[in-house]
Amino acid sequence: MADLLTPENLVNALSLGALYALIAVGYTMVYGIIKLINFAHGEIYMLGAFWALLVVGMEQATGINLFVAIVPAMLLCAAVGMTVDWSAYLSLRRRLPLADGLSIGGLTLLGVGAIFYKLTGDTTHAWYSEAAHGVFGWSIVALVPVVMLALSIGEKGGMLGRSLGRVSSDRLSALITAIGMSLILQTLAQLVWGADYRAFPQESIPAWMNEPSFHLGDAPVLGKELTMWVVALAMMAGLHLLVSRTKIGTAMRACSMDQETAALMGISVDRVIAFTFLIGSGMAAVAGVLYSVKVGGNISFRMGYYPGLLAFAAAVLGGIGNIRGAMLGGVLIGFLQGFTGGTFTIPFLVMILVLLVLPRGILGEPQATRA
Amino acid sequence: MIRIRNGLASLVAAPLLVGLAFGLGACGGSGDGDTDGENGSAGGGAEGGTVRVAVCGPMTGSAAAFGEMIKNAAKLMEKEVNAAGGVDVGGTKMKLEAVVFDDKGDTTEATNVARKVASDDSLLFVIGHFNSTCSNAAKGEYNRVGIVQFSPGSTNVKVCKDGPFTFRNLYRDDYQGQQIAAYVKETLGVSKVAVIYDNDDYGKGLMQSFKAQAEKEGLAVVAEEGYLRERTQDFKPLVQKAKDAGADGIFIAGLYNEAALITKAARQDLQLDVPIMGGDGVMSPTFIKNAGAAAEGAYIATPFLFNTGNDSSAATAFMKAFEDAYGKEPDTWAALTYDALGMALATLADAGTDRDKVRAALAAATDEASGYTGVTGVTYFDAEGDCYSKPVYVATVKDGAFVPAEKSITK
Repeated sequence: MADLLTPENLVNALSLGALYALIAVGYTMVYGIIKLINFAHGEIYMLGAFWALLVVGMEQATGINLFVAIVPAMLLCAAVGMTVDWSAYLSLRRRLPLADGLSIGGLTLLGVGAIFYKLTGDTTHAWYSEAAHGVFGWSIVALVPVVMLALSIGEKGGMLGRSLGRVSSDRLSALITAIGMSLILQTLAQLVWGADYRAFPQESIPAWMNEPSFHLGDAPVLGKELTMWVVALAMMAGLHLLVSRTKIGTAMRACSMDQETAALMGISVDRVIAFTFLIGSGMAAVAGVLYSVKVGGNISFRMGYYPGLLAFAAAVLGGIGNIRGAMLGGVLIGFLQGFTGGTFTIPFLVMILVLLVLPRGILGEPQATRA
Repeated sequence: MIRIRNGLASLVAAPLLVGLAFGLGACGGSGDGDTDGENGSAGGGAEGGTVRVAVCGPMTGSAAAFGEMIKNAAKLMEKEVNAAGGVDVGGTKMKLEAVVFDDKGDTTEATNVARKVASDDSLLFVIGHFNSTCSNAAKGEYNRVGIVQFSPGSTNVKVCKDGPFTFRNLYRDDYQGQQIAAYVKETLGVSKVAVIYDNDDYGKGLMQSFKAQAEKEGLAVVAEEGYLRERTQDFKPLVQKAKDAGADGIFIAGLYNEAALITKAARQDLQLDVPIMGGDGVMSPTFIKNAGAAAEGAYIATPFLFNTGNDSSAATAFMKAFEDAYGKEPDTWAALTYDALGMALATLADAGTDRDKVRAALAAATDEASGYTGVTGVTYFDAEGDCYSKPVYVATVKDGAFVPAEKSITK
């Protein structure tokens, strides 16, 4: 154990903590207001790195400083985040009956197809193997019209959804749509930029980023690591001030407590939600750029998957819906991973253990406050 | 009903569209869609005057840079053969169609591809797969159905074992690991080495053979750190352990992207200026591109190397044709694919369109005289289908390009 508590590991833990905290607040803010786990959030993180890479030069360096490139990356990601909300989730919030039915049907088909696909993985030429391939493929195709229909259909509650009982129907379809959105963004990124791994050109990264800025114990802290910590801290502080002191922050809190009442008080709920996506996506973009610099590259269409997963775990650990909880959870998960040499098992194990004792997460609010 | 909030919506949509247009414009052509072979005209078969062969590799995914080279080399041979009038199949000239399949470097996908390919009777043989894991996963299907699987990239020891239809035209990892260990000890003068390996068939196999030889050579392995592709993103902690263990050399048994991150972490982040040597999985221009200045002076083992100073005329001609066609230099894998395809096509003159006879003709190449001389030298096989006719070359990175190391052949 003692050899894990080294200053080098502390430096890594702090960097990972900053990373996960920056992504986790995006998950938690959206969940706090519309009770949706936005699985496309990891892809926003990925897009952040790609937008910045486009600015500094994907094939040939343009000579633009990376810090300059962060700004358009943030703006574009904020735009993408809002577009995702506007195109996929907004209409689902209006409870659409047919969309429910189709999405549940699509999900069932996908499940059955996947099971068959797995079961028949080693047999050949058999008709059921072919059929399983067919079902699997078609059920993915079926999810597309679900999203399309979700965009265009009426206002009343869904019958299939209601009969499901415990899981509210609109939340289920929104969740599936979120997974779909994540796949769509990944696939688009792969189509546009290809499947290869990329790195920021050396010219775009200021030299001091790769040099030690000070020493923590006997471990040097590189400029890029220090930047991550400072930026993450500043953004967290800014977010805290925004939510607690400003008018839009008050509106966000009001919406997370009770959307209908908030709307009656004259708050434009959809605008508040769009703003939430904007802030969360901007922070994810910064995380994407800074972490890619820290690890020296690894920019690819899949890069958002694992950080997204861990940040989601961080949000749940801290108490999903609670912003301070997400920051705390992010740092905790970062420390758990940093001090165990980058494993995945320990952070998830601890998350499960904590949730067994505190089902709503460390700072989660009791459900009773919501009617 | 959806009411679009006009101001907000246009505010959002405009930059997004601009962004997308920018993205598409900036790298159009990088993602080309010619990767799913199933769209090729099925059942055309040899009888229609066309001979169809499968080329399987990681066209997308974490080894996609290799896949691109493999595809380009196969398509180059297809173009050249057809321009020269076609392939000689049992005495008649036929048009060649190289159908490309994408296994994504993933075992599940490789099994699916194998099933698809083996059951398509119009495909005569398979060039592929690339990743050892994929070749091993697909082997069962090819051998059960009886179609030649000829890998231009899989070096894992087990690939050709118990598979009469499985061949390769490059060395095995036990040989590669052995040669690298000797090179690291004797030529690079390392006494305490850290091994960082990819936790798959290729990485583990290479790491083990390296370790076995290191023991014999008296080269101490002071750290052994495994990682998982995609999942491990930050390599600084791994390199840190190597540094803490007092390593005076690092051996990377993995692929190019991770090798670039490891090299950067060592050279930039930790100021660890010890010799770094990679296995042949690192042999890709993407390694140099992603690692940048940190790549300078790294050593990479490879089954073949261009620009050694005494390149064969076949190698020079292939290099030129490839550059003319694609605007960039071919790499080792392109050369090996080109040779594998060339060798398999040459068997068709006698074997015709019979899959079993293709196997028999390849298996008959057992010495230098009966072997196939191509870009990468002479290829012939032992009883298993393994190839021992080629040495391990060593390249180093100089001024952003692979060049032969001072001592470029390990033997």
